[in-house]
Order: sequence, then C-alpha cells, then structure tokens
Amino acid sequence: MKYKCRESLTAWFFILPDFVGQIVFIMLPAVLGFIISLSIWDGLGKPTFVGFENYFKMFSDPIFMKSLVITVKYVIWFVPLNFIFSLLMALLIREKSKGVTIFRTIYFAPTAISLISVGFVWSYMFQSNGFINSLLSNIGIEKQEFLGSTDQAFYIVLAMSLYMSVGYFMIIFLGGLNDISREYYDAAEVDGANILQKFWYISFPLLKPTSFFVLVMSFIRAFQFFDQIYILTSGGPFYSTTNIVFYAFQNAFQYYHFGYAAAMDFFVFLVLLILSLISFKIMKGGEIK
Amino acid sequence: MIKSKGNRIYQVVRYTIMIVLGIIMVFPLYWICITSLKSSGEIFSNPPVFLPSNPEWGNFIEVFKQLPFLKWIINTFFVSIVITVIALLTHSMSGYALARLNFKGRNKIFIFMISTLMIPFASIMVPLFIIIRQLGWYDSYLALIVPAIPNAFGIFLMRQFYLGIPKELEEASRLDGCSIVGTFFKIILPISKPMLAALAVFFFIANWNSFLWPMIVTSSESMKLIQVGIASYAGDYYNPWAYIMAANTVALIPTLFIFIFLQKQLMTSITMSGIKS
Amino acid sequence: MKKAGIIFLVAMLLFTGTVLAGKITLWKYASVVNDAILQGYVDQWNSENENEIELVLIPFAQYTSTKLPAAFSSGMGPDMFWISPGDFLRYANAGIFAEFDNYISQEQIDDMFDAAKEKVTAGGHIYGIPIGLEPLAIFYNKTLFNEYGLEAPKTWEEIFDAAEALKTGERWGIILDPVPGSYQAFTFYPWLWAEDGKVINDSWTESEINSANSIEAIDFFNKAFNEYEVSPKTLPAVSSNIAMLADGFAAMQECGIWGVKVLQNSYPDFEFGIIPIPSKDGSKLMSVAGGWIQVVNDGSKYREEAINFTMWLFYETDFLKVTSVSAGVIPTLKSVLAEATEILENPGLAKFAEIMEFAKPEPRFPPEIVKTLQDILQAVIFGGISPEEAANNAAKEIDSFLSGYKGLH
Repeated sequence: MKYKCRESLTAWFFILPDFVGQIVFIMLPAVLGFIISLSIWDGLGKPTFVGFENYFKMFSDPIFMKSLVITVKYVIWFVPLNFIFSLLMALLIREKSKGVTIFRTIYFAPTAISLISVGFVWSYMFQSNGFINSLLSNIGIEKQEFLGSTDQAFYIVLAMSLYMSVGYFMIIFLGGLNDISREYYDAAEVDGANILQKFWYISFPLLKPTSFFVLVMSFIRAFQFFDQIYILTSGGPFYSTTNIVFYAFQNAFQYYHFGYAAAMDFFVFLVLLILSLISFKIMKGGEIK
Repeated sequence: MIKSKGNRIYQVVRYTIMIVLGIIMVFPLYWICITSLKSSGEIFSNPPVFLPSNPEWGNFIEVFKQLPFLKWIINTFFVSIVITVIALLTHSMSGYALARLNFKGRNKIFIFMISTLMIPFASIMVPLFIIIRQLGWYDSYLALIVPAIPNAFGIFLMRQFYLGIPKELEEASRLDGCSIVGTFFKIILPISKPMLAALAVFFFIANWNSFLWPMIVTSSESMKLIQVGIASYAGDYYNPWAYIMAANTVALIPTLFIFIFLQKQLMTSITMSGIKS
Repeated sequence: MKKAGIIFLVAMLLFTGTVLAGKITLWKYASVVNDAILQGYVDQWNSENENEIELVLIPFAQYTSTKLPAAFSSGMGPDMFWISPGDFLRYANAGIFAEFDNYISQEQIDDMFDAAKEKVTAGGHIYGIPIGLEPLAIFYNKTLFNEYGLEAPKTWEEIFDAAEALKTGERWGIILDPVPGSYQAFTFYPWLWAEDGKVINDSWTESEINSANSIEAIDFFNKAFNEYEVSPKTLPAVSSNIAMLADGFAAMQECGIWGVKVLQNSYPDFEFGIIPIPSKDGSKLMSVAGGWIQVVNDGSKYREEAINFTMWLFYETDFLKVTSVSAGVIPTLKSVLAEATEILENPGLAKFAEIMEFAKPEPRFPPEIVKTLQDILQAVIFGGISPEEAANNAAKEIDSFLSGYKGLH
C-alpha cells in the first residue's frame, strides 16, 4: 500500500517537467489555435467570430479535398517504404565487418544535412534536363518531366522524404536490434536456422516495441509533411504535391486566412488522434505480450 | 565461424545492396560539397560540372570573413547541447514512468503526450509566439531552449525502450532496498546508454538545424543561430549557392562529429552493458 | 454558442499587447547589397539622437511570409519596417501605417516618380517612402545571339523563334518564372499589360482577366512552357536569379534591374543585352516595377521619431543615392536620379532608366487576387487547362471576392 502510493508519487515527479512543458508550450497554443479556427482573421485586424463556418468551408473547397487525397497518398507510400528501408539498412550494417562503420555514417548523414542544401541538390538532379534524365537516356529511357509533371512530382517529394528519414529510423532499429540478446541467435544457429528464419522468428517478434514506435512516428510525420514540399515544389505543379498541412500554411502565411488555416490544422490533429487511438488499441501500445 | 558457400553468397549480396544504397545516399552529399567549391559560372552550367577544375577554396574563407560564422556555431552549439542534455533527462524519466511505474491515468497521460506530436507546428506558431512574448522571453535563450524541450518524440522512444528491458534488473535492485528514484539513476539510466545516445544524436541534429522557430522568436545578432544566419545569404537579388553550400558543409561537420563520437555507444548491446554493471 | 463566444473574447484578450519598450526597431530583410549602408546611417542617427534605433535583419524568404505576420498578429510589430507592394493594402486597411501627410511637403512628394508615388499613396494619404524602383525586362546572352546570327527579338513570335533556335538538350530558350507564388504573378503583369489586358478594372468592381486581351497574355505562358517547350518548368530555375543566364542554363531570362549589377560584379566577362517586354506584335513596350517601401507603425510609441528618421534618411542624407547605386536600381526621387551619374552612365542601368518611363508600378492586389493569378498560371502550364477556361474560373473567384471587398485600393 505504502509502496504503491510512493510509486505513483514518484511517477508524477518523473513526468511533471515534460507534462507541464507540453501543456504550456503545445496544448495551450493549440487551444488558442482552435479558437482562431472559429474566426475569420487576417492576422492584423480584429478577428470575427464565425462558429464552425471554416470547417464547413473546408469540405466544399476543391483544393482542400485534393490535398486530403494527397495527404493520404503520402502516408500510404511513406510508412511502409520507410519501414522496409530503415529496417533493411539496420540489418545490413548491424554485423561487424569491413567498412560497416563508413556505411553507417553514410546512411545516417542525409538526416543531418540542412533542408535548403538537400532541396537544391534534388531540384538540380530532377530537372528535366538534369543528370537523372541523362542517366536514363543512357539506358534508353526517354526524357521525363519529373518535378514539372503533375504525375511525377509527388514521387520525387516522396523519395526525398525517404532520403531524409530512413537514416533516422535505421538508428532506432539498430537500438532495438541491439536490445535482443545474442543467446537467442546462438540457440537458433545450433538448430540450423538460416538468416531469414532467424530474422522472422527472433528479430521481428522481439522488435515489436521498436516497430510500433517507427510505425506510429512515421505515420504522424507523413501526415504532416511540410519542409520537403516547401523547399522542392512549393506545393506545385498545379497543387499536385500540396497536402493539408502545406495548404494550411499557405492559407495562413500567403493568403492570411488564419482562421481557415487553423481549422485545417485542427482537422489534421483530430484525424491523427483518432487513427492513433485505434492503432494503440490494436497493437496494445506496442508492448511485447 | 565456418565460411560456408552460402555465407559467402550472402556476404556478396549484402555488400552489393550496401554499396548501391550507399551511392544513392552519398551522391547528394557529394554534390553539396563540390558545389561549395565551384566558382561562378559552374553552378548552373549544363552538362553539370562533376569535378570543379579549379576548386574555389576561397568560398570557405569568404564564408568566415563575410559573416560572424564562428559566433553562430558557438551559439548554436550552446543551445543545442543544453536542450539535448535537459531533454535526455526529462524524457528518460517520463518514458520510464510511462513504461514501468504504476499510477492512475498512466495510459491517458501517455496518449496526451503522444497527441502533442499530432499538432502541426505551423498552427501553434503564432499562439506560441504570443505566449513567449507575454512571458517576456522574446529574443532570449529561454525562448530558444525551453519550448524545444518537451518533445514527445523522446518520451515515446524511451518508453518503448523501457518496455523491452527485463524486469528482473529492477526487482533485484528493489530487493536490495533501493528506492524507485535510486533504482532509476543507478540501474536504469546506465543501461539506457545506447538509446540515450541515439536520442542525443536526434535532439542535437534537430536543434542544430532548427530554423523557423529561432527565426521567429529572436531578432538580435547575438541570438542568431546558424541556420538563420546561413539563410541570410539567400537574398532578394540572387542566391550565392556556392557560399550557401560552403556554409552548410561547415555546419554539417559538428553533427557528423557528434554522430561518430556517439556511434560506439549506439552499437553496444544493451543486455551486455546491463550484465557488466 | 454564447459560451463559445465568451471564451473566444477572453482568449482574444491575450492577443492584445503593446509594442515592447526599449529601442526604436527598424525591420528589413537581410541583403548583402544594402544592410551595411543602412547600418551606417542608423549609427549616424544614433550618435546624434537620444533614442537609439536598432536595425533588425531577417532572412529574405521568411521576412514577409512569417516573421512580420507573427509579430503583427500578436500586436507587437516593429516601429518601422520595409514592406512590399503586395502586402501594402492589407496593412493599410488594418490601420497599421502612420500617415506622413503632416511631415512631408508637396515639393518632396512631387520629387517622387509617378510609379513611386502611387506605391505609397492610399485613400489620398501618404504612408511611407518608396525605396527603389526595380523594373523587369528580358536579359539575353549576347555572345550566343551573335554566334547564331540572331537579332534581339521584338515580338512574341521572335522571342519564340530565338528561344527555339538557341534551345539545346542542355540549355533552355527563355526562363520565365515557373514556381507558384506571388513572384510568378509579378513576372506575368508586363505581358498582360503589354497586350492591354487587365486583372481587374480600374474601379476594382469587376475582373477583366477573362477578356480576349488578357487571355492572349496567358496563352503566351502556355506556349512558352507547353507548345514550344522553351522554358524550364521546375526548380532550380528561378527567373530572379540572373546567375542562370550567365552560367549558360538559358539563353534569355526575364529578370529585374538587379541582374545588371550581379552580372557586372560576378561575371565581368559575360556579354548581355536587355530588351523591354513587348506586346505580341511589338507595337507596345511594357514593364512592371517592384520595390520596397519604408513605413512606420502607427501604434508605435516612437511614431513621431520614426517618421522623423524616415524623412531624414531619404530627404536629408544621401542614403537613397548610395543604396540605389550599390544595388543597381532606379532611385525613387527624380532629384536623386539626376545626380546619380553612376546609374545614368552605366549602359545596363541606363537601359532600365529608359524602361522606367513606360513601366507601371507593381499592383497592390490583395493575396486573394494574387492567388487566382497563380492558379491560372499553374493550371495552364501544368494542369493542361486551356487559358480561356482557367481565366473564366479565376474571373468568377475574383468577382465574388471583389463584391465583398471594402478596403482601400
């Protein structure tokens, strides 16, 4: 009884600094943001209270509806690809062998470069007379429009997102893999298990907490892509790479419709929250059972 | 280990994949570095210049001469390190409590904390700015440091990590009469080194490259962080890409240094270090 | 609903704040061209006056898009700041600008070029001092043109012909701005006006973007990007960065006057020519002149001093001349240009001084109208939508916006 009471006191003491910080610096601004979403406000004059009008407006705005579809498309592509590539890289460089340290640094480095430089290089590579196209022409593929095409620009933005992110999640997988005791593998080797079997029967199940983290985090990130769109396409061509968060940013800081932008951002929050709650229920918080 | 034929094939496949991925990952980096050495006339020329004939090392000297680059580096280093150190401590505490301690409302708190990750930053930027000004923190280190700390990414990561460690370690410590706080600092923190190293790398890099918020919340030269400083190059008339790339190449060095420095920690097996202690 | 309203009001109380006490702040975007010059004059003022001015420099790309809005939306804007024509009316409508009427003489007003005067006048009042006039034109690579035996083009047909002749697998014909945003709209105005097209009518009651003349101009962009394929559609092509022309990325480029100084300083061996933007048949020449404005925050506690400093800076010091020469732009005051021999005797800049005679000032359309222009260009260049259809869609949006617009124009 006494221990339990002490445990819960200690727990609160442990949590308090972050909890207070989050209330003051994230939740309080978010509540203010929600209040702004109930108004028409250009950031300069007095806001006009309009109730939920901005939320109704959203669903009759064709660009918003398009950006909703694109947001979903980013998530559907990014989450599995990011998972596969970062796990693959972690498995590849996990074993100690020649040159692994160099590869590890190379895989990780893109996450450390500033956005403006990455954006410059990617736009340079993927312009229609850039060197990706000259590479392609060497193997007989005709010139592609890439960033200038409403069909292809999306995939370039996606590829750059993966480029900037897989090294990040690779490190997390490495941490999770190192968490698994060597003994399991030794025992499996005695039983004559091959590499794939070892992965499937040992690594994968024991990676569950890490995998859960990677899936949830990459899902939340993919839903809120912004930087890579801003730097590479400005949402174009013809809104083909504009997701909700980017459209909301444009509305706030280009068209100065702060209320409308806040409504879209709140919508993103709600959707993410609901989907996350469902995934927590299904995956039981990523605990190993 | 016996070198079987299967093993050799596996290694060939492994290295092939590693090298292909390596080339893809390293190429943009390479391009940034050589762009920083190009002279005017080579940057947009087509076909592209893959190796500048006369590397313009002067670009790097100009970067240091034109702008107070060193001061920005020191400033950014200070801010990033302070954030990282405080965040590592509070996040491992929160993560541990959420994973291992029993208290009422634990799951609700966890969901609350995770939900802070779901709020697009652009939507809270203006309100957060108002709060910072009301607190009188505008243009101060407090404004740069404090709001960057309670990031649920680290809390979530540490919680997932603590879910995976064996319970026996704590139980033994508690039987020895150690308090929860004592157990945490003496037993748990030391075995968290690999995950803390990973988190340290993330926090350092995220804050080293942080741009929008520092730009909004500071105005004086003495508060300028490196990415805000580098962005000042991109002017109204044209972007001196060679200088921007040179500045960014210099800015990349400390982050890679931190990564290489922490790499050893990152790679130690957690269970191994647990047994050692 | 009532409850929500009360919460709303309480929350808005948080938003009301005052300008922070302390130094008089002057905000502008960071620029290697004129920061040091301006700082020199600020220092001079500070040594002669009691309340000090602090010059705050903000990265260009974020200055008007996020930094100024964040400051003003929290009711804590700077005392003085530089603003672009595209933002002018929003701030004027919100009553943020201090009037200069009582501080500026008729003589001083008359010294401004008409295009400059228009920029700072709204509802019959003067709100600030214009800093520079930055007209657009077409730069071309003279060496290339000579090599191919081409003359400088004078009509749209000739522009396309030259662009097609000079285009190779590695070089573009002409850079027009492809990136969605207000700058793209800015580069579109001269083509529109050269054909006597208009975005809206002069009294701001109705759109004219779907008139036959306007559609002709939209079709020019359509042809350049899609029919002749002589213009790059993506980054890194940025029409404002003249380095692309000098590096051989393209043979022609629509760029502003600032390109002259950049070329002369960084590419001394590069030979270039400048042609004004023509109408389709070449019978009319056109340009649009951008340029920033220094304004004063009406709510500032240093309002009076800020106005005095602004008037001192532009009318009593040689700041305008020095900064215009350094940046290579046309000063906004006639008396200053007359003395600025460095500009008048520089062949590139002198060409732009001629262009300035028929250039119109950058329009001060609210963001809603600029967005529709941006949508037209994106739809036509990338969306495969015909100029007529895109213009008609935009016209509807503009009309519905104008019917509710009650601000200044």
